[in-house]
Amino acid sequence: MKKVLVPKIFVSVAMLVGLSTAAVWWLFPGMADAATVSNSSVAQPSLTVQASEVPGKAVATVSAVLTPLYSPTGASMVPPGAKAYFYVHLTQFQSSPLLLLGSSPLNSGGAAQISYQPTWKGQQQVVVEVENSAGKSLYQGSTSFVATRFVAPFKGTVEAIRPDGGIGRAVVVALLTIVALVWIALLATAVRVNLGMGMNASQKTASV
Amino acid sequence: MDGPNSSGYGMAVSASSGSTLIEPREDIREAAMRPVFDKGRWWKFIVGGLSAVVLLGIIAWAVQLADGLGVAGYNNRAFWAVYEADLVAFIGVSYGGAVVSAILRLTKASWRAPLTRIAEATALVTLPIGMLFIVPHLGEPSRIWELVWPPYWNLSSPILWDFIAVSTYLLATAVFFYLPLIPDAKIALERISPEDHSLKARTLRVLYRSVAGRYSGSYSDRRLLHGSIGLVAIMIIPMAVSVHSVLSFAFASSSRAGYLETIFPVYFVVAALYSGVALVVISAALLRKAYHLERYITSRHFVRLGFIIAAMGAAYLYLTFTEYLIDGYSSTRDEAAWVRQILIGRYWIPFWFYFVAAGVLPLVIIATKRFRNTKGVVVASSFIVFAMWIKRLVIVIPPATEALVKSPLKVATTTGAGHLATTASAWGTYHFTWVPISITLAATAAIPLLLLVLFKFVPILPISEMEEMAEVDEVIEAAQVAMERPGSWGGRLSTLHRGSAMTRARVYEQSRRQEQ
Repeated sequence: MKKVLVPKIFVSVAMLVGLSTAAVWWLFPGMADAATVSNSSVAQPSLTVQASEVPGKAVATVSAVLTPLYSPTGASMVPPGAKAYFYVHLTQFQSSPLLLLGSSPLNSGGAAQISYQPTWKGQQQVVVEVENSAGKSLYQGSTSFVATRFVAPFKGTVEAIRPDGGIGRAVVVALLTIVALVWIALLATAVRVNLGMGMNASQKTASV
Repeated sequence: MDGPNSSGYGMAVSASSGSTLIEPREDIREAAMRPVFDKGRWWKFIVGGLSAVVLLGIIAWAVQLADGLGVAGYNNRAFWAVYEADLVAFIGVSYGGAVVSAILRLTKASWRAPLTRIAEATALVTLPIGMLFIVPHLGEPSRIWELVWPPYWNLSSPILWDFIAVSTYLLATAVFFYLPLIPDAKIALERISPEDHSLKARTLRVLYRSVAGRYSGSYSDRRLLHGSIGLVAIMIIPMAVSVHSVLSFAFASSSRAGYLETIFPVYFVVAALYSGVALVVISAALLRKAYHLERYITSRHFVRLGFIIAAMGAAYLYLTFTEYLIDGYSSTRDEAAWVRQILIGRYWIPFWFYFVAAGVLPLVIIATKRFRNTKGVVVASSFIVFAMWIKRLVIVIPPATEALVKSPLKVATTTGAGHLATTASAWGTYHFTWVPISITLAATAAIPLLLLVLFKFVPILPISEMEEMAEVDEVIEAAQVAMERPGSWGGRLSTLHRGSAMTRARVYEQSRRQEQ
């Protein structure tokens, strides 16, 4: 009996501890995150993002700085070939997808900067992601600012470069005329058959 | 041929009945009017069942109107899907009936006669159904007004030209259906008992009188009618080609990989003809079975339609090969991704299903002597109609779900700063829901429903044409017998061997009169 009971107790205790831990993690996720963050905060640098509008211009500047640049052991936190990718949240779609504004390699100070022209007026939420040369995301940060000036998104005139752009009206008129003629021909055929029939009915017979 | 036709080949009218000198064939007339006078219960059951399916589609559309296109599975990553595929597929199948009938008329293929009415009716009923798909496709019904009312026309939109082309084709199909109906309406009118004063009989009398008009069956009437049908047949062929070419412009004039294809106009035309002839086969087989028309629509008709299907199928396979070969060979970034997704990626199952079911299988069936019969051609046609619809989905959905701005666009799963989800995807997803499935099923059910209702009013066989053809066949048969007699005019006839059956018959009649 004892031989069986002892392992059973161990198993029960282990299960209890496991379930309790799981319950705590589930009930207090923030605490769990905090624990993770506090453990890794020493090693994880943060990406500070700043964005602002250039006064009087429809241009915004976005910069990102990684701090600290070195770990306590003196190793660089920025791997060679790391790049910062700058995105803005599009507000026109429900899922707020991110549109790439551009990218820039991090300089020796761990900073990168780009300028872009906002295409709408109002809140702009900018996201920066630092990726290594293999495309793996390393650090992310975001900020937002209000754009008071913007450029029209569809400024270019596409028609000008179309080779058949200049003949549009003539083609349309020609096509509509053809369509009208077809309609007239079809209706006229039906009417002609209706009106033309029975003209010789009184003759009753006719030969080839 | 005894009786009134002694004065010439089918060009005179008897004073009493107004029928032509072509000998009336009671069996043909009875068979043609069989659906009109049929009182079988099965008709009501089938029409009731099909109406229920159509009603389900209307309910689904009402739900979509209330809740938006999202309930049909549409989203900002899949903006075109099943309705556009339905539009192309249904207008496509309408194409086959009218064009096949027109080509066979122009080439004076005598075997066509029993099939022309069913083929033209199939075209006539499927075309408006196909056109209606533009309503759920546009989402907001008030936009239809902007499509049809000239002050709102956007002349640079392919959709507008689709509408113009399809409307014109609908008019042509209606005229093409109406003209051969004129002599049959005259005959049908005579078959309604004068003592019958029921609502149905009165309705039919009004209908037949209005269709027959002043048709007397005289030579001049027949000549006028034949000439007019020939003219419309000539017009309808290029018109049908233009309709499906223009339909393809909605895709081909866009900038998306998979849509921007110069091969699309001819690709769409061949696809339409291919699936259209297959639908004619299915319609003819079902109606033949339902109304016991086996004596008139024979295995020979199905086998010959099978040959047309095989030719179209081979052409379509070749065009499919050409499309993917060129895109795969040039392999720009977008096109390479699109071709990969179709051939070996997320759309490989529907594509290869099409390839087997509508590409290889019908060719194998028709090429194999053992399967080259009514059943075989009907089975092949059923595969074609369904698999060609799948192919239209493969044409429409993948390019619509591919993001034009790829790597730069990422979908954020959380909007909180610093929690960017890096699972960027260049491909959106379209999920079928019960709404488009119900609407598609309703449209499919509407085809047999409308055909069954139409043939309650219209002779299912072209009586006049079949009687004429039967006459011609008999005359040719007599001519062939005469050719074998020494000293006959057979040598002269043999020089006309390549002429049409009608011409040969006329020459025979003239020669016979001269001999007499």
